[in-house]
Amino acid sequence: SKYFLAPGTRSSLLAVLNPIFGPREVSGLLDGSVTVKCFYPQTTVNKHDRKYWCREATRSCHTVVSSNGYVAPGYQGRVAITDFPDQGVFLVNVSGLGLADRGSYHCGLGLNNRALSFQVKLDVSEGSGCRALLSFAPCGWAPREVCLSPLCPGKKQEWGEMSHVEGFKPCLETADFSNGQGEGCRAQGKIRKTLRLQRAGCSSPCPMLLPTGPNVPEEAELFYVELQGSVTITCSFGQDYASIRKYLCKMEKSGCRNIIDTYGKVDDEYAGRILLSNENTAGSYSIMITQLGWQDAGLYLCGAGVYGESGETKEVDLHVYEGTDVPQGKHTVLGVKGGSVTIECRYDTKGRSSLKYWCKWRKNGCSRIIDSNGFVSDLYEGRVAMYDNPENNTLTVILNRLADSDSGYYWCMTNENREKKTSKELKIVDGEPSLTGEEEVEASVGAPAQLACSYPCKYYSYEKYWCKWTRSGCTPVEASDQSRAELNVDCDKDNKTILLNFDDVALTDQGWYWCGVKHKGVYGETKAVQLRVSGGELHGESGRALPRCKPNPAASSGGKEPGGRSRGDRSSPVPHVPALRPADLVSVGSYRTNISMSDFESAKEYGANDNACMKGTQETQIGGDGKSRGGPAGAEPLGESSKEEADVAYSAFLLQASAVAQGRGAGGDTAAPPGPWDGRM
Amino acid sequence: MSCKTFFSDTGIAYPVLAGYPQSYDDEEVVLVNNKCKCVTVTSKFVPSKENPEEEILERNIRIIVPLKSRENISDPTSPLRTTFVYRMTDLCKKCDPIEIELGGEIYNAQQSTSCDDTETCYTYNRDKCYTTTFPFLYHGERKILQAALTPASCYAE
Repeated sequence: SKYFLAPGTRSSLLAVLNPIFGPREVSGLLDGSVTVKCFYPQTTVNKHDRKYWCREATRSCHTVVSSNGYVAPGYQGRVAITDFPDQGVFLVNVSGLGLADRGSYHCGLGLNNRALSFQVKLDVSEGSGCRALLSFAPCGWAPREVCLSPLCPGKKQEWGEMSHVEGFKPCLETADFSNGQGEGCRAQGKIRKTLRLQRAGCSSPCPMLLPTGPNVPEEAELFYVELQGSVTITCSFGQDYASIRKYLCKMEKSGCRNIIDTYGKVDDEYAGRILLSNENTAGSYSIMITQLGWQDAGLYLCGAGVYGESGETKEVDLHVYEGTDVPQGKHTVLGVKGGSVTIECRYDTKGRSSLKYWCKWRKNGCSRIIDSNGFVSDLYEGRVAMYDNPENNTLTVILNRLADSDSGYYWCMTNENREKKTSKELKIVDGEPSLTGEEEVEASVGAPAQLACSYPCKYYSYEKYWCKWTRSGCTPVEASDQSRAELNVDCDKDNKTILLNFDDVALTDQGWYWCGVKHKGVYGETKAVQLRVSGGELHGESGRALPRCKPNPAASSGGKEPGGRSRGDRSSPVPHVPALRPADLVSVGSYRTNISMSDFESAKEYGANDNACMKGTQETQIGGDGKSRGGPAGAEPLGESSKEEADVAYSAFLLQASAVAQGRGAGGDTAAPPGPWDGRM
Repeated sequence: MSCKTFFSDTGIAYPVLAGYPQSYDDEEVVLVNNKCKCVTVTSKFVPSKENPEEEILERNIRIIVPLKSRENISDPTSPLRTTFVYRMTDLCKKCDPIEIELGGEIYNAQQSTSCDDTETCYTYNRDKCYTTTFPFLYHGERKILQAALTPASCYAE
């Protein structure tokens, strides 16, 4: 493309025009070695182009080693360059370091002076000799008192985290922060390493501070991420920090700006696209950021404690480059109130078989809505479906019956850690959905029913369908398109309806149905319609097929329509049956197992009859007095739906029976457990 | 210059900068990044020289003139180019199609009129492969062969 970057993007010029990324500074010991890692975007040309390591001189950069095989005189045998094109990184290894090697270098691609390079400052320090503090406290901190002591000359030691050194206790003694190397505080405000300080008594002899070895992660951890991509940063500080505040902050001129922490505070610029989650090991956590823009590049600190006051930190250097992958698609999705949205997420090929889920971002985490195992959050019953297309690695989520409260950020997640996480922002706008029709249809068992969905002319050429909503997706159902393919080209504004006909409605047909459109394999708008079936026998199948006659005060106190009824949440086995609302009946219904309902059907004297809504049916109190049961209608124990009462009673029996079988007391408000079931009540 | 009016008409930089309270002091906006002619134009706010309290918009134009390139970069036998023309109007044109959403559908739209597809390039675009043909005499037989002018960019995968 002509333009490498879309004009108009805000960015730091340096970050934009320089896609090569590496460590800003590396340090090695005298006679030791150092490895420099340089990242580049994995375009075809970059993978094949020449890689080089050159030393800065007054007017140009003199090559030290290049991937074409050149090695500068004086460096024979002590420098090597290795390219990993499939990872987009190349390594430069310099060994046998001498003091003369100190200076500015460039690692880059192509020809030397063409600005496709990154400047690396190489520092060589003497390992031997008495040295004081090797790490510096950053500018702006109050002087800290740390314990120091000179090293044993001639010994090379590896740095270990202070927490891992046996018997180590930091002690408090005034110390001089300038060290033999030069300035005591780096001018950019950059932190080299923070020292963990604890208020502890100082015991002599004062423990030693070990030197930093060349292979030690004293320098920042480098992250090279694609524009609009995502990154996962893991930090661990050991068990001692398990319950201490963890945070991520971004280094700026005025200090470190807090981005996110375990207290739930999130910076506005990152709202919706950052998540902090604790890892399994104590004191470790990971931070996921999606939709990375140019302004996200820079130096970060992940830490435990409070910046500038206590705790430990780890430097993270994040660089953003223009990517080469298929774009993720628009990040803001607009949805109309009452309508539906289709959100697509792409995932890596690696993530094909892992669990995928979709969740809504909240300040303290991401609450799961739907996942590929068939879980659907109760709040979203009947209005969300997820389709996985492994062929083009796309996950499609459809959410309908949109309301204002649906605005926010949603994340497509997989269990794989290295998987790209994507987040989309959903905005609800005013408008009219394109698919219209009745939202609730009532039908009686055995009678025919029809669900209709009208579509506008713009969907004339789209594929239309009806499907029945289940937790694991929406299964297509045979439907008829009322507007047959006409020979004329115009779109007749009338007769644009898709019908779903039921010749003979059964109770199992109750539930949510979606009418939707599809175009070229891509899911479009959908509309949810709820079919309620009344009358007829009860089934233990889905527990949903319960007759509803008139709005029952207790039923409406459940707060939602049956579609939104919570399922199974309150189904924890209770030894007694307190005021059962229809909601509870749903879950209790699933306890019915081996006893068929034919026992009830023929027995009219049990209050079971086909016309469930007739008042004044004769009914016998089942299993205890009506008072304690507190039926739905309160004062009148019989209530309006006698069928429900029969249901309640039967369930009560079952529960008590199981309770008795387990040797527990029946408890609660029902009387002594009924005797053997010989048809008496 | 029309690049400037274009800039303030779309008002890209102003609301963007204003919306970020923690923006860096030296935030630059990239206006032009033309790899074909090797021109980069960026702009940023700097304190005015007359009145340091005030901030003015400063535009940085970086042009790298490839003196050793040919008039036709795909033909190494063409003469050396001696004339280089840089027009801000042409450089500031946004000819790349972008995605916009209308009524829920995504369309690709071009933001400028009179976009000339064939732009004469002064130097090679690193992401494109440039080849040329040349006559090759071998065993008395003259063959026309194709050679890559930018080998690194011409790999298949």
